[in-house]
Amino acid sequence: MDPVTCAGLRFAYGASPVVCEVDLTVRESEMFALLGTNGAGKTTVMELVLGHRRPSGGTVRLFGRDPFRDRRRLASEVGVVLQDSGCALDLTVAETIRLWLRLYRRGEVARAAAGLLADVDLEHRAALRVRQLSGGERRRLDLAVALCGRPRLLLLDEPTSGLDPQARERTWDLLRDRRREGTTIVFTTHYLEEAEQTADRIAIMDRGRVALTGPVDLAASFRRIIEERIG
Amino acid sequence: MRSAMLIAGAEFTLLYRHRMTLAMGAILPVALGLLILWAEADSGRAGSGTAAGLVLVTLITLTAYVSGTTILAGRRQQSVLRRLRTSGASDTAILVGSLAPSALLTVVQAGFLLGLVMASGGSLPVDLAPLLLAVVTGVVAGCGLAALTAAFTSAPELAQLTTTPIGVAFLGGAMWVMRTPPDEVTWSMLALPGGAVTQLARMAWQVPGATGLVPAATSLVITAVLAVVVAVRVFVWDLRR
Repeated sequence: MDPVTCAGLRFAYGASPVVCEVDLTVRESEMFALLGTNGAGKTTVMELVLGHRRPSGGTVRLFGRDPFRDRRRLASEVGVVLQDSGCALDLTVAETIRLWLRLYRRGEVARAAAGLLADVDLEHRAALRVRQLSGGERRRLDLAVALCGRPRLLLLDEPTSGLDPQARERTWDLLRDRRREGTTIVFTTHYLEEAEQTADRIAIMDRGRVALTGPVDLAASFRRIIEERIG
Repeated sequence: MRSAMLIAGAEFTLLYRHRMTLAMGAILPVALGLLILWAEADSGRAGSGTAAGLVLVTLITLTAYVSGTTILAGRRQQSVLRRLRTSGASDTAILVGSLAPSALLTVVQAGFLLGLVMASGGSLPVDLAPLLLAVVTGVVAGCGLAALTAAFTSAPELAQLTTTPIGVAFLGGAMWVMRTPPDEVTWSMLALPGGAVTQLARMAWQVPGATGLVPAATSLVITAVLAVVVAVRVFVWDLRR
C-alpha cells in the first residue's frame, strides 16, 4: 500500500482556493520532494496530508487511512517536522527528546535519546534550553523529535531551512540512511538543487496546483520550465 | 492518561522555569484571598462559610481560569499544541496535561487559604463534602472554561481581555450569592459557577438557611461538563485556519 495518496485534493481559506485538484502518490521507501515558491500551497498540502486540516474536496490517505479521522492511529507511523518548530522553548534539548520518546512509548529512553542527539549532532547542546539554540540547531532538534517514534513515513516541511551547508549535507546523509532502512520521506523545499540531489521524484507546485510531477531526471530536463515557475 | 501525565510533567517544568508566571499565578491570587480574609476578619459580616466561598471563587477565577487561558493561548502561539497532536495523544489528554499546573496550583492555594480560614479563629466546616465538591468541580469548570476561552484568544496577551466576561460572571455570581440571605438563593444565582461554589461553601459551614445541595451541585457539575465537552469540540489548535 502506498504511504501517501492524494486524489483531487482541494482546500480553500474562505473563498480563496490555496490547493486545487492535487493528485499525488508517494511510493514505499522513496524520497519525494514537493517544490515551489512561498504561497504555492506546499505547506497546506503537508497539513492536509498530516490531517491537521479537513480537505474542502478530494481524498488523502496515509497507508490507506484518512489522516483527519485516524490521526492518533497514524501517529506512531508518521514522523513530522512542522514549518514552526513546536518544541517548548524552556525545556532543554534532552528533556524535549525524552518527552517525545516517552510519548511514543519507546524503551531505554536515555540510550535512545543519546543516539538521536548524536544523529543530529546535538549531544553537546543537550543541557541547553531550546530557546538558546540557533535556528539551524532547532531545525535539527525538530528532525530528532520526528525520528523519536521510528516512523515508516517522514513528512518534513522545509527540514533544512536555516541550516548551513555542512549541517544541510549531514541532515541529508541521515535522511538517506533512513530511506535505505525503508523509511519513506516526503519533504518540501524552495531549492531545486536540493530536490535534484536528494529526491527520487518531485512535484512542482504553482499557485495551489501540481504543475509537474515525475522522476528527478525528468524534472532536470524541464529545468527551464521549472526555473520560470519557481525562479 | 499516560500522555496527559507526561505533558503535565513538562508543563510543571516550564512553570517552574518561568518564575514571573509562577509568581503571578501563585502569589497574586493568594494575596487577594488574604485581603478578602483580612476584610472579613475586621467586619465579621459575611461569616467563615461565605468568606471561604468568595476566596475559593477568586482562586478558581485567577489561577485555574485566567492562567489556564493564558497558558493555552501561549502554547498554541508557539505551535506546541499542534506539535503535540502529532504524538498520538488525544485532544483531551493534551488539554488536561497543559492545564494540570493551573489546576493543581488552584487546589494548593485553596488548601492554604481555607486552612487559614479554619486556623485563624474562624469556625470549622461542619460538613466537608460540599466544600470538596466545590473545590474539585469548581476547578474542573474553571479549566474547562479556560480551554473554551482560549479557543477565542489568539495570543496570550489578549487573555486579560477575553477572560473578563467569564471572570466577571464567576466573581459576580459569588458576590450576588454573598449578599443574598442563604435561604433566598435562586436557580439563576446558582447558574453562575461562582454562585454555586459560594453556596456550597456556605453549606459546608452549615450557615443557617443554606440548603439546596442538589441544585448547587447539579448546576456546577453541568457547567463543568458542558465547558469541557464544548471546549474539546471547539478548541482551535492552529491559528492559521
